[in-house]
Amino acid sequence: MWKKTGKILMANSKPQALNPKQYQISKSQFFKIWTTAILLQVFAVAAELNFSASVDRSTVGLGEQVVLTVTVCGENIGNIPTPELPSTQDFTVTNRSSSQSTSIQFINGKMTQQGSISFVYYLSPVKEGNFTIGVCKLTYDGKTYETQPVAVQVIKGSTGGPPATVAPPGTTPVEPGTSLEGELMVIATVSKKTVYQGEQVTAEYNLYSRRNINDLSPPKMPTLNGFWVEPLLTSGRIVFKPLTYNNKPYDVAVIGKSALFPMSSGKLIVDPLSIVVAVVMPPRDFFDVFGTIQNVTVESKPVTITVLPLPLQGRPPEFNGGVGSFAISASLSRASSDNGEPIDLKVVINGTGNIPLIEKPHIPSIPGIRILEPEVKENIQTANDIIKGTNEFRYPILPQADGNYEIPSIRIAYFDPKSSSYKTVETGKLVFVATGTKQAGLTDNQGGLKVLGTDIRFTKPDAPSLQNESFDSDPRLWILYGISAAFIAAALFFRNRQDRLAGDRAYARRAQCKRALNKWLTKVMHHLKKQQVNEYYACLSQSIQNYLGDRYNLETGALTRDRLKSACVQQGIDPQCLQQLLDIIDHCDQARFSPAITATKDPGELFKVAKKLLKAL
Amino acid sequence: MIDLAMCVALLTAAVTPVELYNQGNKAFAEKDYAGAVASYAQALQGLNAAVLHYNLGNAYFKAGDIGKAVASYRRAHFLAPRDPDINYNLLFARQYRLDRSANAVSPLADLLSSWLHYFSYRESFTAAAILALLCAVAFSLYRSLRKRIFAYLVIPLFIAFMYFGAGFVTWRGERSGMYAIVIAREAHAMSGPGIEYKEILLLHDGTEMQVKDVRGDYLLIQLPGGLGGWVNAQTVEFLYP
Repeated sequence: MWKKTGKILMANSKPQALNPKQYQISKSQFFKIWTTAILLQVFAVAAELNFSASVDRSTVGLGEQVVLTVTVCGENIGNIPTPELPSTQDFTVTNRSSSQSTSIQFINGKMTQQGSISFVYYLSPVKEGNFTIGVCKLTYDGKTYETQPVAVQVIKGSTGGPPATVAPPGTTPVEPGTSLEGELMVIATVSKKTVYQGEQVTAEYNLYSRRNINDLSPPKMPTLNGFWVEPLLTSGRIVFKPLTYNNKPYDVAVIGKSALFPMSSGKLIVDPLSIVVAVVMPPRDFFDVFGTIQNVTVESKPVTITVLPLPLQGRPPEFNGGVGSFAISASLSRASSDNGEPIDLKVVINGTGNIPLIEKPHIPSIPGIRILEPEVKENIQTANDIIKGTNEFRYPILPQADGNYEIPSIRIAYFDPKSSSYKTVETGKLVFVATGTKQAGLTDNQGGLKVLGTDIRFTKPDAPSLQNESFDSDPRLWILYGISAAFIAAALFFRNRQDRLAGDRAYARRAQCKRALNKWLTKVMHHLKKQQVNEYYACLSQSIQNYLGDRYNLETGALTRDRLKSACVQQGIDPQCLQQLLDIIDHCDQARFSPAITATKDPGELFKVAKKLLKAL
Repeated sequence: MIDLAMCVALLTAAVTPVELYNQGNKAFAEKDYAGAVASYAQALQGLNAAVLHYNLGNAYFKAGDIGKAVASYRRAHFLAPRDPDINYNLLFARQYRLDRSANAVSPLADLLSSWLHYFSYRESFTAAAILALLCAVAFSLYRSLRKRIFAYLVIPLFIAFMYFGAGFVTWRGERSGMYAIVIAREAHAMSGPGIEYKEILLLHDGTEMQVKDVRGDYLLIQLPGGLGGWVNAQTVEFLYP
């Protein structure tokens, strides 16, 4: 369709008088306009993206153009969609373009893009008044971002500001009524309408002419925002060739050719190219034999291409921005380094595609050597309109320690648009030896000492005898731990017992009753042997009472015989045994106070019985 | 060289390990490193000594066998951790390895390690056992006699015991932790115990690692950084029997 309406723009001081057909493209994006004349620049609320809109001036004359710039800043905005403009009827969009600036970083093998994209719209006001350019919307990653409305005042006449399009100086306007439609046109063609971001598109501008052309000014190449541009037509010569187009014979010449590499995804516009052509107009009357020469500005139509974002799925971490087809190779400037001399590691990426946009390949850090930032050298050639070349990265390597070093294979991944997939290429391994690094600059100046090299220390000398050593420890030493544990246990037990003896009287008496009894019985024996009858009975009685008192924690001195008996029964003593003991006590008392009865029982026998009973308790 | 090895083998029946050690030293001085290796290795059959491991490590190093040299130096270091020659050569041999990233450690950990490895395994264990006993005696005296002086004695004794105990635990972990060293030029670590599994790591001689599992001919190894895989048992050597 655009081919048929290939348009001729007459050089004119009123650029708003454009062909109405062109407006129809952007009718859906017309603006709504009202109020004040203040320039506003407001950032979007969300943290990830900054989304703002601004105009180049707040007051614009009717017939002039105002430039609306919508800027998106943020991380990884490579595949940002084109923002949605508010619909308006007070302005017409005459032209638009986009430009992008990106800084790509590799952190831990992941690529982060920090960048900003500016979408530039050229707006022509339709009538006078105060208007507001409404809210621009952008939906990205599930979030909607909006700009603040921008106010623009439209006044009659010129504001003196820069007009959007300036007619080239020295051109005379074409007389109205003279139609060159279909006679002289610039047609822009692109090699592909749908490409991947970073894939090469060749844009060609052809001048079609059915008129006599007197002279051609050098074509003004468009800025081509949003692309990395590599011009393909270098020679200034323009050659016309006959060609039939739309069943009409034309003279066709290539006036501009560029290789374009889209920098962002979405719909991108290949800017139109304009050229001033001096056309020989047909003679109007008999006297005008040669015709008049008229300067005419011819402009192509903008071409929209669809740029697909590079797929995130399957993107290898080594991907460093290359789109096309590449190979990688690496080499070292030397195989060995002495005294810490640097070695250059040269990594060359060659192939076809967006060579200058390839980031430096990631080289893993190797302990013992320092790899400095590379020096980049690119060499671009064109062959059959295809951009190819090499990108050379020269990394200086500084050895920090002696040894054999291996530089592992360096990998890069690129996107191959032909197969729509990522491909990985890698170099081989490289090995080098570093010696004398520690001694670099380690010369002892005062003593004149010079360390020339390093080696292992020499062997140990001969020995008359060697002692057998073991990798294992002596297990007998574990006994020491056992003894230690026994010490601690004993100390704890001893302390506990001492504390209880001091604090618990009943326990103390019970614990010591046997020893006390033995003492008493020795005493009784002593009296028995000496035939001290009275003392003997007193002692025996006392020893039984004391023992019972100690054993059961009873206050024996204050006890009557009956109470002693009931207290003992309470403690659960065998009643028979108790009765016998009490009988002995009674007997002793009787014997002490009425010696006549003593004959009834043998004192020695009594002692034995008492002893037996007490031990049995 | 083979002849000399055979000579050594014939002679061994009669010679003592000390004589073999001295023979090895002689071979080393004559730059017959293979002969020296044979003598020292033979001597090690009958005697385990730090100097023997050290000299064997030197012979291996000179013969270009970095993996076995590192293993020998580590054994020597285990027996005599304060020997400066052993430490120097161990460091030196480790620098000649290709895989060095595996043993990159922080300076703090390095300091702590050298502190704990100052006394050998046996020294640490003996000192810890004696200190434990002294500590227990002092504690018992304090408990039973209630004398303050013993309490003050327990504290430094206990601190010393903790130091030697920590050293002992560290050494013991190394001794019983199934440590191994790559002795082949290249060892391929697989994702499973067999050649048919995917190769996941390429190791070079001298790389130190820990064996986590044994399945037939394959060992599951782990590098200090945490990486690991299954390697053929032929390509590695255990540090301690």
